[in-house]
Amino acid sequence: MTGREVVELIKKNVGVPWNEQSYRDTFKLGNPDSTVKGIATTVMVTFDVLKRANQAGLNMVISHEDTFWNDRDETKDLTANPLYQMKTQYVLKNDMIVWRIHDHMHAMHPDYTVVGSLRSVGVKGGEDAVMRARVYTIPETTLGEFASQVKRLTGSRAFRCVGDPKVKVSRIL
Amino acid sequence: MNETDILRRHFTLLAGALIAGRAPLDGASALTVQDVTRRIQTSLGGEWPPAGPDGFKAGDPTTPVKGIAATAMATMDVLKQASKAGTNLVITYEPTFFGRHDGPAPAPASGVAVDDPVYKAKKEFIEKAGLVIFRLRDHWRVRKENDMATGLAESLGWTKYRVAPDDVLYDIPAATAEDTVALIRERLNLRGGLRAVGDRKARVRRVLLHPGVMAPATMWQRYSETDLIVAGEVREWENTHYAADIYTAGEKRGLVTIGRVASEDPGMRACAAWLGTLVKEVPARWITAGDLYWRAV
Repeated sequence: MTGREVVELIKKNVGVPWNEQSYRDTFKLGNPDSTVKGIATTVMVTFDVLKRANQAGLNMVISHEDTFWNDRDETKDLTANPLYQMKTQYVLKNDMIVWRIHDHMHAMHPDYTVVGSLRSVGVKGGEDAVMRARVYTIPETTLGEFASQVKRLTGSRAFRCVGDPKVKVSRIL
Repeated sequence: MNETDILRRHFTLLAGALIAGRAPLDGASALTVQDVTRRIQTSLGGEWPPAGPDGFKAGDPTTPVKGIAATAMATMDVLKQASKAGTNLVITYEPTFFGRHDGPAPAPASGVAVDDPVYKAKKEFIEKAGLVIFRLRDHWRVRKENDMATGLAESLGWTKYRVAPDDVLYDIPAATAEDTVALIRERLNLRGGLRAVGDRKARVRRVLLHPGVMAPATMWQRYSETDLIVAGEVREWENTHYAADIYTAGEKRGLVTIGRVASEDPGMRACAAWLGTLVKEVPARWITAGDLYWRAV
């Protein structure tokens, strides 16, 4: 099966009409007609993710975010950039394929980025969630406690909080 | 009162102001907020279109001015401090009402809702306390002096390390990235806002200061000159992504984001000092918005 065939299969199964005008959801690197040995999905195809996918024998990487550090994956100012060259050569040398799915993921029902976020912070419900503000109810806790829970469940070191840690929390947007 | 009397009265007031340095003026002769902002506009020059981001955001411009506060962002906390300090003109670099429209705006603009409770409470506080809010960003930023960067350097204690003529590059005493980050955190009094990407043990000597938002093109062009970039904020899928890839590629160059507001705060301390040279009649002070964040434990 080729990268192109994998994408065709995705297009048939997303459950929403495919928008060919999307500049985001396209092939970014590699030969779409190469044979796919395995697929890795990731939120952002960093150089580190590429290396780990390759080491795991997965040569097709499906990324939600961009490859070249800008939304349109515009590369005209990057051709002489050493990091751009390194990342590109790594993909080509290892016969990898990078394809992005962003817009259509957010158009899907449910939007798995939302469902995934809910699960990762320990919020139940929202199986049919889409990218629209919605309030979820959780067992009452404090903001500080909830923040600790998010840290424990996601392992995130980067997230930041604003507000009184002692305030009671039960409804989450 | 004839004309001579009026002139004499004015002269007396003026002489009083010169002697006292700061004159408590009453009535029609008192310095108004508008008088102050006109001085700012004249001194900085340029166009001041009514629809531009700089200008009055709340309060009555004809209010006699009692004191001036400059801040990176007029948060409710800053407004309360200003009011408590008897300061009624607040000069803010960032918006007061939570977005570029600085208040309710018709669709498709994404302004805060007219009946938003936080917006209403803030507006009400401003009116009750008799505050006037004036935004000053674009015209402050286009000055020849890059006070946003040199102000940040000053807060970090790095003024003497500046790599002239560049006003954003500093050769600081060499230390690990980890230790440099700890120093930044301590000197800027940061709580939870700072985030760092890169090798903790990398040796840092040349630092680039970029208060505010750093665009990808700036990072692509300048990262190779530096060991560490200190920015206000970046988009994760742009410069954080780039910094992560630099790290994976084995380059010893890091990125630290200290928070948009925390990065702009020192520049507004410089602005308060500048306002003090422009307006002698009332005190001008800096009110720090501070680091807005805390971290989970």
